Amino acid sequence: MSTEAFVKYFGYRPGTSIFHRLDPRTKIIFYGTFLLIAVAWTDPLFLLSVLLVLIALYIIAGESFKRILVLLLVPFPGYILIFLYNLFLFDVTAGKAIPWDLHYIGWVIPKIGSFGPYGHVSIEGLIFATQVSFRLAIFILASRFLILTTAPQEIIIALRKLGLPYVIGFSLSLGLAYIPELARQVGVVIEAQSIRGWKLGSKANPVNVVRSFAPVVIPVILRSIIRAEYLAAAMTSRGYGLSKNPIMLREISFNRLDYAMIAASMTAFVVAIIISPWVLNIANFKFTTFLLVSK
Amino acid sequence: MIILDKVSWTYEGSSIEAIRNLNLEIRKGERVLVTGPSGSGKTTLARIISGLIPHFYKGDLKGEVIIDDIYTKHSRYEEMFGRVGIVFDDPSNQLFNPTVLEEIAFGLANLLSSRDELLERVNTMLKLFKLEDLAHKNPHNLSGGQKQLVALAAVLAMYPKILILDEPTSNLDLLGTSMVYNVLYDLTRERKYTLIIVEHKLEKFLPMVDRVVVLNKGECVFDGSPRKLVREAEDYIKLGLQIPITSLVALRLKLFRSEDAIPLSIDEFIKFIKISKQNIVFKPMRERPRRISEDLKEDRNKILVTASELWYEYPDGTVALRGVDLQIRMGEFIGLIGHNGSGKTTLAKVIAGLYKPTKGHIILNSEIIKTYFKESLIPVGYVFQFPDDQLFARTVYEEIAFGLKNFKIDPDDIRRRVNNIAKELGLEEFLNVSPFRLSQGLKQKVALASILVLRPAILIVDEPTTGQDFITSRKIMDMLKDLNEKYNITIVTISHDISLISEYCKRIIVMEDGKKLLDGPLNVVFSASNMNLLEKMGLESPRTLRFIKRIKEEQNMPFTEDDMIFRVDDLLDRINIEEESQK
Repeated sequence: MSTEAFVKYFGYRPGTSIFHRLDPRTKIIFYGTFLLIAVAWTDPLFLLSVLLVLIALYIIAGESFKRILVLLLVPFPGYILIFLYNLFLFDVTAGKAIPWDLHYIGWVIPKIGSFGPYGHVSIEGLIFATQVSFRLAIFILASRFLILTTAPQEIIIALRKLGLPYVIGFSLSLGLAYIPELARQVGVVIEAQSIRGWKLGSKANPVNVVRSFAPVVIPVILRSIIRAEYLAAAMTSRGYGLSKNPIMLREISFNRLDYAMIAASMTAFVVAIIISPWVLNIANFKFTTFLLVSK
Repeated sequence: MIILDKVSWTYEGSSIEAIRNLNLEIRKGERVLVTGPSGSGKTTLARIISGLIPHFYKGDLKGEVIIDDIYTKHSRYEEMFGRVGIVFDDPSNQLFNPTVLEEIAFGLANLLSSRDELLERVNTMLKLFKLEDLAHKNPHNLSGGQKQLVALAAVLAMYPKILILDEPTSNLDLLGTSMVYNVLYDLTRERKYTLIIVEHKLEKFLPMVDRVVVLNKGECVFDGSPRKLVREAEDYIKLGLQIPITSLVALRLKLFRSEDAIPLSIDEFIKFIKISKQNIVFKPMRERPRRISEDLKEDRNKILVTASELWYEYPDGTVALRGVDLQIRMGEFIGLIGHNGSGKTTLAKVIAGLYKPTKGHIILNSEIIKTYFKESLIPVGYVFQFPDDQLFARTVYEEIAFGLKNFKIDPDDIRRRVNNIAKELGLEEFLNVSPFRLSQGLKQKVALASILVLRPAILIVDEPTTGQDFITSRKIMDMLKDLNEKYNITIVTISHDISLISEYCKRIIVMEDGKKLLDGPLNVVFSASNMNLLEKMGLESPRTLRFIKRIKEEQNMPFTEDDMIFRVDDLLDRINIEEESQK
């Protein structure tokens, strides 16, 4: 995938929605609330409602249904993998801490001859595995939402405002600037070597696989080193390092919308902690379990 | 005001003086062109005037450099910062911000203290360079010409008194060159800056400047007005300077009022012949000897490649080829031209098998390849523009052997083949040297050898002369011509230097918007009407043809096939004057 296509689906998209207009610091706080939920809550119903809220946010931010669908589907194999992994191991991990007999309904891998069975599946296990996948989904959707509505430079500015040193901020932004150029460079080197019969290593032994990368890695690194010197000269000629605190191009400031959003985020943050398993223990996967197996 | 007093400079780790005992005084507001062959010290001089020498580059600086009253050797860079601006040759090596807006603001952010003033200046620059719509784009996603304009805007935003442009158009295609050239033209008219332009495209830049400095091996060999330079052209053609055709013709035919008024541009030239009532005539062509023997010529009618209805779409949706039909015969020497983004590189890569066409198909005549290229391992070779994109091995030998090893050729055979190709290209003495320690020209030869050793029937060469001086460019083209004639290898050269390749190629393909716009022998592609078409699209025709066509138009004579003169020397041999009264 070219970098342009990658940015189209996974990068920042300029817009005018209320989220685009928020101060990047507000958005980082807002994002933090979702991260907290993804870490703290374990109940699939509670988490599902948060997922729905996130999808609603995407719609408000002007994202098309097609793109939302792509976003939901692309990480799906990952969700399934995490789901199966937890389903398989629930019995010997989280399941052990449950004070009642698990409601078994079958096996992940049934008995075939002398093989198996493996992965005793219970209703509790299903609910637990679902919530882990939901948490991953919240993490992905919330991160994507921050990236979608906040230009990378804005994130850097916000981090600088929050105390990140200028040099680190500049390095981040330099890296950002060079992504398309680096992608092009790697592409050209791969083409130049494949004309000479080079193929990506499929050699049996891992040392040979690593060695087969050398014809691509060496030119890319050497070109970058040569480029770095030219770049440093250009940066010097434009005064890099002469000012301890160069003027920030964009001044960011909180407005009323930001204060409202921060207040809402903080409230949600506190509520999330209160109902989390750490305090009142409501948003716990046992909540859904009771709903399903309370007979 | 710039003063260089007996200046010499040696880079750290080098034993050769890059600049040798140079004296130079440039007055405020002067427009100076610095030129000379590669390695003559042009870029080093630009670095000295910019203060990057000695403040960024390390080495030994002798003599005194005074820039705008500052002794650079005895001051810190802070004191110079903002007084001198420098734009470099490769636009992608001087842009380091994620958006155009930030790029232009970068220098100002270090220079100014008021944010409002910064924003005002950035906006002025965006407007001046018509970059408003691109303000939020990553500069690295722009075209070469646009990138260079961004770099220029970023430097000019600091309002420098002295502006240095180090080969600002050498890495650009024609469209980019004219984009930058037009902006520079306006800048020179305004005389707001002391301008120092390092360039080798004299034809374009001579009329823009007051003064020319020619460097050779670190020394100043000429310092004077452009007209003085063309008057003494003979001495400098040897250095590889490309003196404008107009001036050469005027010199040959003594068409000037006085030695101080030798025309630099075609307009001046035409004005003069009109006033002096003289007519330019072209003597009929002498038959030139055929170099290709007849039996070889017969083989050359065999079709090597047939492509029909080629379409290519990049993963991001850009359609680069829109139905291209193409035949390539054995032994052809083809020039492939077009703007960046016209599809010429994509077409070349499809022919080379690097890209699979999205639609349509391409057939290689493997029968011919088997018969005529017995040791062929790849039907089509592709030499990339920058040898550094492929060099990686410890020695030149290993670099050349890399492809053979990939094709599992047995070691004895590898040795024989590598040695043969090294002999052919004069690389024998470097076989055990690291390719990274070679000069740019030799690196290019190694890259070429590493492809040729695979004995392709077709060799595609991507912009072999971009960024090179004329002597080097000619050497490269001569080498390709040799390969073509001696080994019957079909050559396809992608190039922006139409004047140069039309001296070598027998056939030209012009790409535009993913389609073949023109395809044929030189006399067809550069017919009068096609030349008009090319000009309208911002593509040039060979400089000799442009000159002849313009003269003929002025004299109301038709431009015919007889006027297809591609070499400057041929043109000078065949041109003459005739008094109007004799008609």
